[in-house]
Amino acid sequence: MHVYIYDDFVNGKKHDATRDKLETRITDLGLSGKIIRLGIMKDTFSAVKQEIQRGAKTIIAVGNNKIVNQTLNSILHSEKNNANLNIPLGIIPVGEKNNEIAHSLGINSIEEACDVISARRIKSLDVGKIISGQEGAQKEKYFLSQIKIPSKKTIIEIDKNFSIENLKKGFFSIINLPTEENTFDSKSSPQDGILELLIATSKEKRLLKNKSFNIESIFPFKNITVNSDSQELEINNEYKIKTPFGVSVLKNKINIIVGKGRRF
Amino acid sequence: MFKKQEAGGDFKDVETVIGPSVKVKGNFNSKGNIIVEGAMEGSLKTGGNVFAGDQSKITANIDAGEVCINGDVNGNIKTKGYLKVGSTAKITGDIECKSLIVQEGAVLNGKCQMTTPDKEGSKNKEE
Repeated sequence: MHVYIYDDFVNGKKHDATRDKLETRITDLGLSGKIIRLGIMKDTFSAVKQEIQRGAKTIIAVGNNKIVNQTLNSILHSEKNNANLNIPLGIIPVGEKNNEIAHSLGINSIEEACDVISARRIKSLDVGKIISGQEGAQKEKYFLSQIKIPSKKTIIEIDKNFSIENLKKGFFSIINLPTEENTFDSKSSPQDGILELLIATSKEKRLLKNKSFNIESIFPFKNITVNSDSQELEINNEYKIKTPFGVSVLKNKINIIVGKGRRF
Repeated sequence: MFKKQEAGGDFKDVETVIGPSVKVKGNFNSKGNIIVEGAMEGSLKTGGNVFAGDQSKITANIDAGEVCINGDVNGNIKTKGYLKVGSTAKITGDIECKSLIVQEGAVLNGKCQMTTPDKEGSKNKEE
């Protein structure tokens, strides 16, 4: 059975027409399933866990990057006790912003997303894992595309062989899946078992008062440890993680339904 | 391959780039090509090639396929192919390479040893 997880914002009046269009299309293609609308009373993790226990065959995140990341984390945490499940994740992008993950997977519109789910082209992709806390009480978070870490007073140790320090203002970016947001000319792929650390430094334009960044350094890696003078570091401007923490790659960890026009 | 890199910004054939704002400490082991524009301390070993820009400051022994140095190097350099020492380079250490190019203005303090081509290589040439 297909389970559609609608992000909170998708349930708003603004997206009434979008929902109608989507639901008509999935009915036409014979992809109907259960719709779960997230809200104050229902969070992604408990909804996904419950549906996996009930035997969901495909879980589809409907919304933007935020719900894709939440659903990915929920599937992987739920599968911890049963690694053989391999439930495929589908994506239906809604809204005009923050849909870089869907676009990278070759899914650019709701119509295209429905066709992609119908074609069911499944690929196993690598996932980045953030692990923090002391042994026995470790917390894990997963990411599909990238994470950004402020580089001020931060030292990164790669594969326990060497350390990297950025001496200018900027940020570290760890890439698994290349998107339009983190475009750079590289061989980066979510199927190579390697993550890439990019170091960007700011170049301030005084007249226009806007900042832009130059990617000046690239390091491929499998394991890093992030150390900082700060007790916590903000990741992607979304959540904080206590330092030190590790980032590693999990090869072929998640099955994702992808489109023909994907970037890898 | 270095022609592309000297033009700047082309990362296609390059696995690792150590930018000008970055300081790397430790034993750096790689299989691909490396560009160094920043500071490096420790050791640098790769099966690929190394290009060091004119702002680079390397305090490390370098072991690589082909090497092009335009900055400061304190350490020994060993290459399987050629070593190109640019006009802005300052090397303090011994070098060992198959072929050597030194441009006018380069500073080179250390012993220099040229490795002879291997037998197979010379056989192929004779054929």
